[in-house]
Amino acid sequence: MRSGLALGIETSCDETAAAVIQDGTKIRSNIVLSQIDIHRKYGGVVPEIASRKHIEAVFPVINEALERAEVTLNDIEVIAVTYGPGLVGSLLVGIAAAKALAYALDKPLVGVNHIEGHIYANFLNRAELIPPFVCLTVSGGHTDLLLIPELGHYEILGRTRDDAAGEAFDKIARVLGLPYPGGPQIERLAAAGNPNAIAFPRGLNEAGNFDFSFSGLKTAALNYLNHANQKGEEVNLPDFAASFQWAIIDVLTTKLLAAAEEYQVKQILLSGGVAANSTFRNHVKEKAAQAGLEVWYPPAHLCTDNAAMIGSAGYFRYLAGHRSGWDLNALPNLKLGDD
Amino acid sequence: MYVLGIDTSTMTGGAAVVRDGQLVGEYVLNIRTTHSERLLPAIERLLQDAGLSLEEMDGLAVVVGPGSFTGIRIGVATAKGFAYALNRKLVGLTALEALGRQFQAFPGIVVPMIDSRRTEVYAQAFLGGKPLAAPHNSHLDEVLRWCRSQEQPCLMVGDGAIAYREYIAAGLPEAVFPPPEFALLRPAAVAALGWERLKEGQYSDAFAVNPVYLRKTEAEIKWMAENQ
Ligand SMILES: [Zn+2]
Repeated sequence: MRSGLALGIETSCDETAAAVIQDGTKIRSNIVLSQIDIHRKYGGVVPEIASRKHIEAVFPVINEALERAEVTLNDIEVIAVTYGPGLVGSLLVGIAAAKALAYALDKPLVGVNHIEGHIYANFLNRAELIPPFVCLTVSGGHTDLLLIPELGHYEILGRTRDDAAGEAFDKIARVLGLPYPGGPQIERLAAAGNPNAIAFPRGLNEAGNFDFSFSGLKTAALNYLNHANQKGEEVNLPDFAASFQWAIIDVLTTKLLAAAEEYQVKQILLSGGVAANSTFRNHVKEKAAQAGLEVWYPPAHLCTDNAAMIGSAGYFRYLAGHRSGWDLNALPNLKLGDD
Repeated sequence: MYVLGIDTSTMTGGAAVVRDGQLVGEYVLNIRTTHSERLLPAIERLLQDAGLSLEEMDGLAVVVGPGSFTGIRIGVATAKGFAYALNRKLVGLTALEALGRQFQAFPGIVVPMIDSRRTEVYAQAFLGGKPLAAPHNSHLDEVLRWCRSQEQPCLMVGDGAIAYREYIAAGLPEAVFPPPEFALLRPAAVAALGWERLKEGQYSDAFAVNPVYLRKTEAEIKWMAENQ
């Protein structure tokens, strides 16, 4: 069946998602059922609850994706599913569903790395992008700086040594009593604040080091709040949020541009949930323009977890000859380049 | 009528095919390899060796609980996927009622129990395959107390009966145990009970069949305790 249609399935965290993608780049449908409202009262994603919701939602979501795309399962050429990284119980639901569909209808199955999926969000509904790229993938689970010399090939230039950037946002938001997820809440609060009000530390900021560390920043931010609390001083929350956010954005942007310069690459890709932060996007865009670089990032709704990106990445893996067996398992700690 | 039965609710598990209630083939493993890795290869092998294809199945039966939450979801997601892809009828069964059927010829009460850790079990009692009470998650002592109040002998089956055999024998000396290799749920019983349900018109579909946990998550229990 050479329809060029990929069915993408994504259940790695708290979104149950399915999408139909044409020729790896055109979105025919993209259904994302977020569980955020369910997990909010617990202050974060509860893995067992997420798994319970996934199993109830996954087939209605797949069904809706097929209906919206006006195709049937028989029209699908390849089934792509996230097999890591993520919450193991959640991943397993999507993997079992995808395998059952592929086996029942004798379709090829392709396991997709979730982080690679985020990168491919850049190729959706857009004119062709041609490598090489320097790519920064930032979300609640990962902070990876990559060199992409050609499609499907990744050279890891740097990674976070502790918290992911999005995780730092979530943790501080939690301390401030802001609802989950914290990133967008901090950004909202920061909008009215002065980013230079508090001098927070930048981790690993020596030249030539492309790894990240946000634990020092997190500790400094917590100490700042504790000190103010002990002295009975009121914290200017917009200033605090803006300065905290700025410390993260500054480090991410500085390293990203330094990597582009060191590897002589003219195009920058952003991906992952933190790439939906408009302060971050705008700052990268401004700095890149000064350096004569082009920047690409997906629209906000494709930065966060979705299955369109999985369908896209899976389709290109399929074209490159990748196939997964019926014993495909969840790999919660899967790294880019492992597969 | 062909029915494929699937069980992944405990470490033991696999698949079986029955034709009009007669066993065609069964594939059971009791190993540590995850159900995610072994279930679909087992089904493929079973169907291949039996000279059948999945499309020839008229219906599907799957264990929806109790047992390992993750394991159950693998089996249920697989069965739902088959039912959705091929538009087949799907029967969701509990491991307890399937064990009740597996030992229905026992002249007394069959007490299937699934280990839920710390001498707690998911249990239910059956007489001639018919339930005597609703399934519940409780301490083994409660189950044994109930058994002692019965006049008929009790057959203890399921992985809980193996894990706590000495504890049970101490609290209920009259307890009857099958040999351990037959004490666990067989996919054949799942397929056969599924076939009976299909015949009786008691079936559902890919959307409606979901796991039955018999227990809220720790996070929900904690939240309710703090907010009530
Ligand atoms: Zn993600």
